[in-house]
Amino acid sequence: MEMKQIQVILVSLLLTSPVLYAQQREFSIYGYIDLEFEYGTEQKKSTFDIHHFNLLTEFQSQQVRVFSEIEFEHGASLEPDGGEGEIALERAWVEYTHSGRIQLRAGKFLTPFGIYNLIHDATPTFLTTSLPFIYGKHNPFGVNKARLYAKFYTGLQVLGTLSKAGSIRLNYTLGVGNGRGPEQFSKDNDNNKSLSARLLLQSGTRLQVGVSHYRDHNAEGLSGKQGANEQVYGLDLQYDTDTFLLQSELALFRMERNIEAGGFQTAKSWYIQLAYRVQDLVTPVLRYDFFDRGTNAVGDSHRTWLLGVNISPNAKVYFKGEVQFNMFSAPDEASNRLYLSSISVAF
Amino acid sequence: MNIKLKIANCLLVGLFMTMLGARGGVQAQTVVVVNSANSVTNISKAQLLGFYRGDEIVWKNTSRLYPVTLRTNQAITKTFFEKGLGLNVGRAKRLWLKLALSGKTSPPKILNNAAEVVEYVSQNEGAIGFIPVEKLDERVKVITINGRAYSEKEYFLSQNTK
Repeated sequence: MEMKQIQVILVSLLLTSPVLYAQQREFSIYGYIDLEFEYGTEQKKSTFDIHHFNLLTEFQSQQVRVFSEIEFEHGASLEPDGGEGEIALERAWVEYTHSGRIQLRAGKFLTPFGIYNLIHDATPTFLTTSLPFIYGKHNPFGVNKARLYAKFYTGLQVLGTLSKAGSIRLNYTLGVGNGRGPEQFSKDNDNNKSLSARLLLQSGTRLQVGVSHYRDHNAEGLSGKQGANEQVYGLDLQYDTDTFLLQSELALFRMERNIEAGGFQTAKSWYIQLAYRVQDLVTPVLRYDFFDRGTNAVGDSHRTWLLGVNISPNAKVYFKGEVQFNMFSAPDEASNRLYLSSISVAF
Repeated sequence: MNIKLKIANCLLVGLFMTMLGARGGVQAQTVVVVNSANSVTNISKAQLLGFYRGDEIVWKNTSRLYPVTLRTNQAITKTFFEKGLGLNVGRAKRLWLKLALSGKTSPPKILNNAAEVVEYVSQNEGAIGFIPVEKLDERVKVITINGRAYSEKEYFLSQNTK
C-alpha cells in the first residue's frame, strides 16, 4: 500500500473517531464531599469531621456500563505506623443491559435494602446529616455493633422493571454474594451465599412502596454462634410531591443465637420522617426513630426525635442542621441531645 | 443629534429584544428530536417523562437510551419539564443527582444550547432531546408525542391557544 493511501486512511480514521467516540463511549466522573460538626450533651465535646470525600466514575458504551466509587472517609490519613480514617473501594461493578426488564451486574455492591442503602453515604441526596437507625450499626446482642444486614456484598445482581401498566411500575433487584465474613469481598468463608431481594412499586411520580429482604450466614456470629443464620425483612413507603415528603420504614431482624441460649434473637427498627420544601430552598425535617433489640430486657430500646433543617441554594449544595433528642429505656442510660450540622456538596 | 438619539434608541431596543430572546423571554415552539436512524416516530408523554426520570433506560429495540437536556436555568428547559411533563425542575435535578450517585443509571446529559443538542443527538442513535423548532435541521428527526405533532393544538407543549 502506498504511503499516500495510508495517509488517507489515517486521516479518515482521525476525522471519524470523534463520531465513533461520541456514539459509543461516555466517561463521567462525579463526587461529593461533606464536613460535619457535632456536639453532644453526653460527652460535652464538639468535633469536626470530614466524613466523606467520594469519587464515582461511570463508563458507558452501549449496553455495557462500568461503575465505581472510592471513598476517603474521616480524613483518610494512612501512615505506616497508624493514621486515621479509611480509604475504601465502596462499589465497583460492570453492568450489561439486556433489556429494560433485565440488567446483569457483577462486582461489589451496596445491598439494595430500603430507601437509603443504595445512597447510603451520598449525603447530598438526603435531607439530614444522620440516617435512620435502620441504616446504622447496633448491638442487638449487647456485644458487638453491626448492621441489621450487610451494607455491601460482592457477587452478582440482576435487576430491572418487572412490569409496567400506565403510571404504575414494578422494579426488582435480586442479588447473591459471599455474605458477611472476615474477607467478605474476596473470599467466602463457607458455602452459604447471601441473598438479597428488593421489590419497588412506583405509582406515578409521587408514591412508592418497597419490600426488601436479606439473608445470610453471619460468619462472625454476633451472638457467639459462628455462621448464624440471619434474616431481615424491610417495608418502606415514600410519598413525595414538589413540596411535601413523607418517608417511613420498618425492618424486622432475626438471627440464630449461640448454642447455650438457643433459638433466635430478634430486633426491630422503624421510623417516620416528614419534610416540607419551602421555595425549594429551605426544608424543615421532623423524624421519629425507634430501635428495639428485642430482648424483652429493660434498656433494650432507643428512641430519637430529630428536628432539622436543610438549606439548599442549588441542587448540589446543602447546609444541614439537626438536633437529636435521644431517649433510652435503660435506667442507667441518660437521655441526651446531639447537635449535628454539615455542609454537603456534590460535583 | 435627533438622528443619533434615534439610532441609540434603536440599538437599545434591539439589544433588549436580543436579551429577551436569549433568556427565552420570547418562547419558541419546542420540539422533541431523536437521531435520524432511530425508527421511533411517536412516544407517549408518560414514556418521555420516564426517559428523563431514569425509569426507562432502553428503547423498545433494547438499544440504550441517552436523554439530553438544556441547562436548567433556561426558560425552554423549565417549560419542557414543568409545563410539558409536570416535573418541577428542582425536583428533576434532585432526582438526577440520586440517579448518578446511586448508580441506577446515568442522568440526562446537560448541554448548553440547541446546536449542541442537535450535534449530540445526530451522533448518538439512542439519544433524545428537545430544541426550539427553528433550530431544527436535517441531522435529527422530530417525533410526535401522544400522536400529536408540534403544530397541533393538542401537542403537549403547544403554544397554540386558538
